[in-house]
Amino acid sequence: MQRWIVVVVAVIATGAPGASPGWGAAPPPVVLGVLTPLSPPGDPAAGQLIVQGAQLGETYINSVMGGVFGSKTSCPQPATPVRIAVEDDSGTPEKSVAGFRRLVTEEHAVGVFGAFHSSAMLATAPLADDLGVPYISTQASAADITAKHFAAVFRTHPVDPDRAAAWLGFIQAQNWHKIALLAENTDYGIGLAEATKSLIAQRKLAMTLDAVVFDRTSADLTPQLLKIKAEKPDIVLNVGVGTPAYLIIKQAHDIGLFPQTPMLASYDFPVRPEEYWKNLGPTGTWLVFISYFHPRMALTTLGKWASVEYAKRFHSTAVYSNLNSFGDAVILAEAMNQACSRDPKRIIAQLERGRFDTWIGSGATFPRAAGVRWHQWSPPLVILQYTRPDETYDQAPILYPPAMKTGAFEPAH
Amino acid sequence: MDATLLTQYALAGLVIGAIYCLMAVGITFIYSVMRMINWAMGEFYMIGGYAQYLLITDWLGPERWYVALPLAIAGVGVLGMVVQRVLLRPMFAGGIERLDEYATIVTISLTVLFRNLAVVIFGPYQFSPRDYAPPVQLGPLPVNGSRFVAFLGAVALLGLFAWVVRRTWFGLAIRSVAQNRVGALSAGINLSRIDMLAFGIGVALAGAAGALLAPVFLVYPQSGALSTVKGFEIIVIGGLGSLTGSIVGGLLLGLVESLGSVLISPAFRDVYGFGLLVLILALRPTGLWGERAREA
Amino acid sequence: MDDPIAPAAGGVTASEPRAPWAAGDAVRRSMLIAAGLGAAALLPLVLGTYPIHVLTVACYYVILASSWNLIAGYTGLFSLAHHAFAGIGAYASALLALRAGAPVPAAIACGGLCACAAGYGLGAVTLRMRALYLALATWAFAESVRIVVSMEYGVTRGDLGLAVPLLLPTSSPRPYYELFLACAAATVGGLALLLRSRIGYRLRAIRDDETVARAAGVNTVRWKRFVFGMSSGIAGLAGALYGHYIGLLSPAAMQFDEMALIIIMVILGGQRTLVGPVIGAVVVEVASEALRAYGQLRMVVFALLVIAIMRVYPPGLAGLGRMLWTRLRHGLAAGDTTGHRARQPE
Repeated sequence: MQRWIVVVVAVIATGAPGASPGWGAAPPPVVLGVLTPLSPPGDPAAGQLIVQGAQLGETYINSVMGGVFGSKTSCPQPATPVRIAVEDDSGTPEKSVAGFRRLVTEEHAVGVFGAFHSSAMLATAPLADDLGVPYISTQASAADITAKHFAAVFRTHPVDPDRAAAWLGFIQAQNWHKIALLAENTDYGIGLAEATKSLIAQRKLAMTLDAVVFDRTSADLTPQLLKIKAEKPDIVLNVGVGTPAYLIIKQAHDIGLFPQTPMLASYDFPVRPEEYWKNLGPTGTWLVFISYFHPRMALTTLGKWASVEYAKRFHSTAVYSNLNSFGDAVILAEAMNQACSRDPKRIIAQLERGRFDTWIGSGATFPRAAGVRWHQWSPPLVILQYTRPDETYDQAPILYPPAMKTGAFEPAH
Repeated sequence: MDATLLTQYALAGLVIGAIYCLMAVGITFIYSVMRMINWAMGEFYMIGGYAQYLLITDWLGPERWYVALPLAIAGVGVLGMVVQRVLLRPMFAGGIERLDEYATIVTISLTVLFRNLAVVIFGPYQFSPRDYAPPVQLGPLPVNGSRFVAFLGAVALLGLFAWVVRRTWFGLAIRSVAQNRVGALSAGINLSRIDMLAFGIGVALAGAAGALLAPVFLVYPQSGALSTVKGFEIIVIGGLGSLTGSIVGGLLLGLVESLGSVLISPAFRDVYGFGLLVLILALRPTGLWGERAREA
Repeated sequence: MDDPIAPAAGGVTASEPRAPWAAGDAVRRSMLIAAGLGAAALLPLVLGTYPIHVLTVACYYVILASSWNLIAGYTGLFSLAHHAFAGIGAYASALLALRAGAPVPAAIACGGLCACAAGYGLGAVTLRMRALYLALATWAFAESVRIVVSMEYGVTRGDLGLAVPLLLPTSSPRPYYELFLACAAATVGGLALLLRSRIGYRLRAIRDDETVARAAGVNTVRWKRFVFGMSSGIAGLAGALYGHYIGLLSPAAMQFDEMALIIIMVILGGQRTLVGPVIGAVVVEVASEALRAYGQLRMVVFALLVIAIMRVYPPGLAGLGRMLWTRLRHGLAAGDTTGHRARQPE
């Protein structure tokens, strides 16, 4: 908590107009809004990482790109610095709407990113359309965010079908057939359970899926896990976020379900090593999990700059939240340069038209495609496994996709 | 239905039910002495968890968890006595119009206070001390070592509590206060000291549940919310003011939840308790063992 | 702190000293209120949309806090399900508009009615319960409603959030602000009238001593159900309006924290006064927006304030304001009328 107060203060301090050296009488900075959870019931830990990424983005745009516009581009306007403005959405619809409004009307942000909680972002999406200000989802994954085809809403985060495709691909490659899925009753859990179910049906895979939904506030999942154990699945999919994700691993271990039966976690919480190994100890060995980033993945120049700078500034390894938030800031700056405009409506038009370099790939596009692919660009996913206690994620082998594979799935022994 | 599975469920339900009992007994004990409901019970549970975690990881080391346990429990008890002395004693000193309302507002504010204080101090993250003991096989059910320790601890504490209340002079004093405050006062019992001790003991039971369950359910600022829910369900089922009711209610709730999840659907696990509660309120408004005078 | 069955006319805030110039004072007071409302209505001309949004939300809480003050403060039925009734109103209205295609204003009215009916029912069930059981039973009701809403995601979409059509064809908060301000003013005004009427005295009689009230011929059963239905209906209407303003519902708003927030607002402002919940709601909402950077520390401070108020100064901010105002006026009066008024016994 104190840490994030420091972060917020630091953001305000570094973001204050005129703080960047050498701008003198330059035009007023272009403001990029960061709307992210910095207090409960949201996930402040994630929000903090996103803010750090946005700070890197600000530095990159101002130092490496020389601000937006200017002589490095074909735009007539003089080079203009950017500044990020941070707002807390607490992960709730109401605070998110209020924060977006403040960013646009008080701070005059020309674009907003940093969303983490889907329900907060969904509430704000119509407002983004109304105000005509582009709003990029950094880590909110509900299908509706793009499936509802909001004119001003974009996303650079994998959607449920991406995730379902990745783990079903992995399961198929392992020749497993009987899947048990334990999902929390949130947008994320239910959305992912439904996406997995419909992908199995759509691809006519020879798999059975037994999905159990539980209340997120439950602390004891033993009954659900006993039921799953009795059905002897080939794999258990763990769709909990935060506390429930840990509880599932711990309690599955207690009743002898895990690691005898492999478990695959739906997002990258194990990459925060201090938290993961501290909470689970040796129990956490053998977990298979989806990650959005692995140092073995080929980063672009942008991505390399960000991970080096991150290590310098924050003295630890950059994680996906940092990089993707950084990427969103840069995408907005690129769109401004391509459109030669800081008008939010022109930025939206350019996002739909242009191709953008990101931290992980070049040529990201946000076309007006059908369904959930509207304004959607998905970074690649990898599936990793921890095979010994206290391993860090950059040491963990990549099991999937086959193109990046660095190891095979190891059953517990 | 598979008989082994059914036994597993029943056993799992009983184990968790015994731990629920600690919360419920604490609530009902405070009620029977002070005639108030402590809405911040879950927060004392949460504090017990944090105390245990900090003692083990920063001070004593994970292998001395059994030293940490009594320290954490006593710590919560002392905190409870301070809260009682500073905030709740004035209830009986006159000047406060409606005791139950005062107590409700103050303890609800305490929940907000403690919960947010935990976020401010420790951040919104979840913590977990290492398991107390290796897994144990309980008949057909494999049980986590810490959970088994928590179960044994709960049974031992409940036994100790029952012995103190039934067999000692202090217990006699407490029972007399619970029956008739004025009568007890005229018999020379120091009411304010009994109140303070009773509140301390009541919340220490919640703290004990929190400390015992720290490695099982993780420690985080909201961790008390669910245990408050369970505690209140049990006292409504068992009857406010009845220790037997709390114990039977706790075991019953554990069983109903566990069997409900296997026989009906595991998704609604936490609704079964409310179902049982509504059923009992409708059929027997005083709970199974409740005092007769629920009506005004 | 408030007098039981006072003569009709005037004595809503009973601790107000009643001086001979009370009649003129009433006129002056209503002019003051009208001027205040007028000024509040003109605020969108000077403030940006973000502060106006914050004030709109504050108006929503004014309605919730005032209606809870009616049931818990004035009538003494310490219900802990007020936030759940707001949720019931919001979900009922949203589902009617979405699934049955009802026009939004009609849906809002129905949402209010649903909450009113649910409140009336809960009031009937808990009729004979003593205060503590009432608190427990209403709390259990609220928790069950929340769990059902979040688990029945097929209907309510649970934590996915239910996207709700907007009431007005804009998401700009200015028109909504005027609407919420009018509703808050109507609620507080309506409550003032209700409390001055015979019904108001019956309700306060129930709070002071139910047995005596019954002996004095108050049909306690009927009025308890009435007040439950009424305050729940108001909460339901507010919840429905709010849902059609924000555009997204989620069960997060039905967590117990929300109820605690309502209690904090009422106690901080001053229980059993008309202005108390208004002050409390506006102060808490505006302060928690302004102090965003301090995170959860704000809630710690609010909770400490509430405990301090309960412990040492139950009249709350409203009482404090009134005390200061009286002091100030007396000081002035003593200065310019050569002690004429100071001699009067107060």
